[in-house]
Amino acid sequence: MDTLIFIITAAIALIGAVAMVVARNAIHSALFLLLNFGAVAVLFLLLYSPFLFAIQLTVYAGAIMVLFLFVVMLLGAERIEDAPDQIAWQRPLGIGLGVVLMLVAMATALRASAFAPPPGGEALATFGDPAALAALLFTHYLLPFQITGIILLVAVIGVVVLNQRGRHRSEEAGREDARTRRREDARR
Amino acid sequence: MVPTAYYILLSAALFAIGVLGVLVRRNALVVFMSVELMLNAANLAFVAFARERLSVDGQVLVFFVITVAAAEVAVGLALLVAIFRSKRTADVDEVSVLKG
Amino acid sequence: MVFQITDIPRILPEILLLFLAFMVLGSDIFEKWGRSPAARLERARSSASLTTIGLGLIFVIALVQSGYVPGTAVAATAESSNPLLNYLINIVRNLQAGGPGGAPIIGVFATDHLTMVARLMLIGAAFLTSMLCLDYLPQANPAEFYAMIIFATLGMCLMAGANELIIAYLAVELTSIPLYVLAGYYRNDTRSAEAGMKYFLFGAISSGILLYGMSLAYGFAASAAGGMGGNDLTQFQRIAELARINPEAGTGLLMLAMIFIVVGMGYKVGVVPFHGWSPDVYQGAPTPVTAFISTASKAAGFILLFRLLTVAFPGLTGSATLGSELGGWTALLALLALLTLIIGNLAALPQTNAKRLLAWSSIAHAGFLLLGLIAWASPHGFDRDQGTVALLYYLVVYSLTNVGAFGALAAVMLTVGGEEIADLNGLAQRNLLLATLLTLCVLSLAGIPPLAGFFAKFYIFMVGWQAGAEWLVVVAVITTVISLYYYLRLLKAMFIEAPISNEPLRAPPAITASVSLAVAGLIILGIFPNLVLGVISRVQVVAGL
Repeated sequence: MDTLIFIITAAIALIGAVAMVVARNAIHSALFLLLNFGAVAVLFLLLYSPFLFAIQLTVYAGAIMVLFLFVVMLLGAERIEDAPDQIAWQRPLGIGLGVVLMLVAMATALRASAFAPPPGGEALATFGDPAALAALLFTHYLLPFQITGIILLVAVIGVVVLNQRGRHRSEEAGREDARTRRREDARR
Repeated sequence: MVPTAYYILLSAALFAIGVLGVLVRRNALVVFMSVELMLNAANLAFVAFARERLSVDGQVLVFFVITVAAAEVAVGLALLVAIFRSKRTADVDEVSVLKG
Repeated sequence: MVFQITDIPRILPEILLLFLAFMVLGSDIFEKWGRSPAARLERARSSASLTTIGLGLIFVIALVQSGYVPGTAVAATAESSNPLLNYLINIVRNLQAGGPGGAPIIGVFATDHLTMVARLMLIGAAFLTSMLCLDYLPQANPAEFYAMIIFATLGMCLMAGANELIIAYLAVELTSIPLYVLAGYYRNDTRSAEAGMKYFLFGAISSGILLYGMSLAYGFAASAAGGMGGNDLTQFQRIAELARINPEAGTGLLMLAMIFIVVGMGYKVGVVPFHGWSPDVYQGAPTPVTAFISTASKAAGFILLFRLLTVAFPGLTGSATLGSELGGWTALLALLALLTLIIGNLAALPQTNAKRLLAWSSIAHAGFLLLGLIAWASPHGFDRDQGTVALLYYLVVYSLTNVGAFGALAAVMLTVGGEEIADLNGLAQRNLLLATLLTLCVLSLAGIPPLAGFFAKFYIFMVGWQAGAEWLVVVAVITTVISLYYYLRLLKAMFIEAPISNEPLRAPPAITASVSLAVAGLIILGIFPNLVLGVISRVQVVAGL
């Protein structure tokens, strides 16, 4: 039963990923990626991490993809005509590299991981419990937790600064001010 | 019970598809979406390995990665919007004032 | 392992950096600024001076904490009859309780000598950069500009001390995100916006690859841990220990993890073939930001790469000697170094833009730096320690040099108005001091004695040779000679070409001060390298062997 669910979900994830790369319209790409994220969230649930399932849906599917869709529609980037590539063999080379990478990664993964069924038992009952995660987060991983908070603060400041309307100064204007200032200093 | 190896194979496939998207697509937004796909593949691998050994380390790391990815997306999209407002194109190959 | 209250002095520089960032932001928010140009100038100046003074103070505190300056180390029982002196001695003693040494904080952040030396290097580079910005003032949102510099420095200090996969990734992100914002800060200037976008795209891709590599390393640790689960599977030493205990279990997985991690970090430090973002970003970003990225970010990247490879993957070290034993990460790094040295130096030859030329020269220097890492191919512990010392010394010298060179270019840009080599024409006749400073920096980059650059290059060639990578050292020497050509082109423009106009150039004072400090450091380190070598020699990274 688990295997059946896994196969269906994995198929949906793969279809979403491939369709995202192939789709011409950027909005279609974003929506296929949304499908992929949903499938991955279900996979998290299968792997006994309900907390991550909820976080994946809330943050990744619910916030990040919505932001992507907003920006795509804001920029009108959904209609991109494909002009011929600057290097003629760029696309086949990219595809070739990607396939090679996939084969290498899969071969390594096959050799290393166990094909045995993962452990079960009573330890599994409390595994992935949000309470256990929280206990770790505030004791063992306190420093990374604080750093994540700082990263979020930095991102907020960065976004506000990059998109603020108001007095736009360019580098040339900055140089203008420096020259004006030096002239004033010299006069003094 | 699904063996861990299946999850790792799926994660490797998703990662490779993400790299493919980065190399092949020219729309900067789709390139960025492929990067998110790569991060997701790594997350899946982490959770699968965490399940295999019943060590919650992997899940905590995925929590951090999702948070940081959200922050990165916000900043990245702000940068993309900043440049495309002036250039009116989202094609990475056309953004080449700095060639030299 | 829980965070103890006694851990706070050990992480004091990072906490102080955080407070400084908040202070800079707060000083701008909680005050009413006028709208006139003079008021905006004052607003920018106040953030700049607050940042510079704050970073200088943090540098001094970190220096006191480390006890590296001879005579400042306070014994545990030192006392004095004078109450004021006693008070000061107590303060210094408590500070030094947080000095290098002791187990990593919560197991994730190592506070050994490597971290301390790196902190001093990074905070020093940030201090010199913010001094540069005193004259290169960003008028729009100045406080956030400096806050970003401080946050990036905080991220870099964390990168230098990362002892674990999670915090390594978070620190890399904390460094990169402010740098993306800084590179694209002048968003109405097309070049700056493009630099920011390119830096961001390449940086995001490299973060993805790095994270996937870390997931494979964690996977190896998880599957090799057997029945003993444990909560420290992401620590570097644990990975190395597990690799040692199970030699045949999944070496393929570990090798793939190592390759991905090297690729991811390779993007960050800018080695070929992951250097695509470097010339464009260095050219387009505001010049002080370029100075910061090319020195501090590269240094932090190298130190993190060093920790990752030597502490987490010591079993995969391999060797770089041509022959049957070629393999492991030293061979991979040797290949990257070969490509970097050749392409970096050759591509710099036809450049006409001074900033872009320095960008390609930075890429080439990353190749030289890799030689220090390759020194770990030698089986002798002595050679490995020498490799570490050579790497750190080269990083210190390289940071000083690049800050000086880019600072001088910033001065030229502010006064002459351009960044092409043609704008440097006749600089010697217009402002001899600036020309001399730039000359000394360029000569140090080229490796001319008796400047510090010569000794750094010589040292790193020596450790590379002893480790068995003779072929690489030969290539490095040849490319050094080639690089002389484009460095001397800068000198030719300054001293021989006729200037555009004959009026004397008045260089901005803060930039001159910053560049002078950097060059003074170069001269001192060139004549008395032992000043710094003695300190750096205390760095002995305990590999997982």
